[in-house]
Amino acid sequence: MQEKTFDYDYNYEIEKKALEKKISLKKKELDKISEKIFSDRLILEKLTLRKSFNAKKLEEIRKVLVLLQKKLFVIQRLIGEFQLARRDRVSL
Amino acid sequence: MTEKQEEMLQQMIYLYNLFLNEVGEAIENLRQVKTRDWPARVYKDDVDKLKSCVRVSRSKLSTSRKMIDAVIESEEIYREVFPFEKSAISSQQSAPQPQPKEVYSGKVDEVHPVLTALLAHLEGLATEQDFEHWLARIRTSTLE
Repeated sequence: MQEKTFDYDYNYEIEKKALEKKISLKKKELDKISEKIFSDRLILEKLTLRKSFNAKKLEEIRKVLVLLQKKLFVIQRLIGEFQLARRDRVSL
Repeated sequence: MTEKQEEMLQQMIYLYNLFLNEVGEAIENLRQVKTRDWPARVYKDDVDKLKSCVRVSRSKLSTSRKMIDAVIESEEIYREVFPFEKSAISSQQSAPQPQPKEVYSGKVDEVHPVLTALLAHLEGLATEQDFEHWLARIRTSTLE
């Protein structure tokens, strides 16, 4: 009969905790950036609501579009990292 | 307002309307980019959905940005040709189809081909095949 062991696997527990912390941090970052995207979207909506335009308005729209593009790039990377961390936790 | 001035204006409005259509779709997709309603234990489906919305939004925004660049460029050309026209332009006016074959003289002659080229580039969006091809190219370059 196999002998029961009560050894505590510290490495496993530390790694698990570290991954959980990483996942929670990534989630927080995702929340933060999605709020920023939300507010930028509102600005863009407001700017494109009226159909008249002038040079100043066009520049403002362009600026918001560039900001949104940057944020979407960041959120896409964050999602990838979030998924990777979750996958690592499962395969642990 | 001269005939040529009117025509340039209509072309700009046409470009801006194309931009408004594209940015409208981008905004619709951006509405789905949110993590507010996620439960404490995040589902894989929610993450996948967010990822796909982000991808579509990026592609739409990239197209919108190219379009707004074209509008800005045409607006600059317009201001160079007609420096005293400063009022805001309303895109609610009906924008007729541009006539690229028309020949202009003087300063307009130098500038107009640029605007025509921009339009010809964006005109491709009007046909469904070109539109799909163009979008696919942009999506590929965005994903890379």
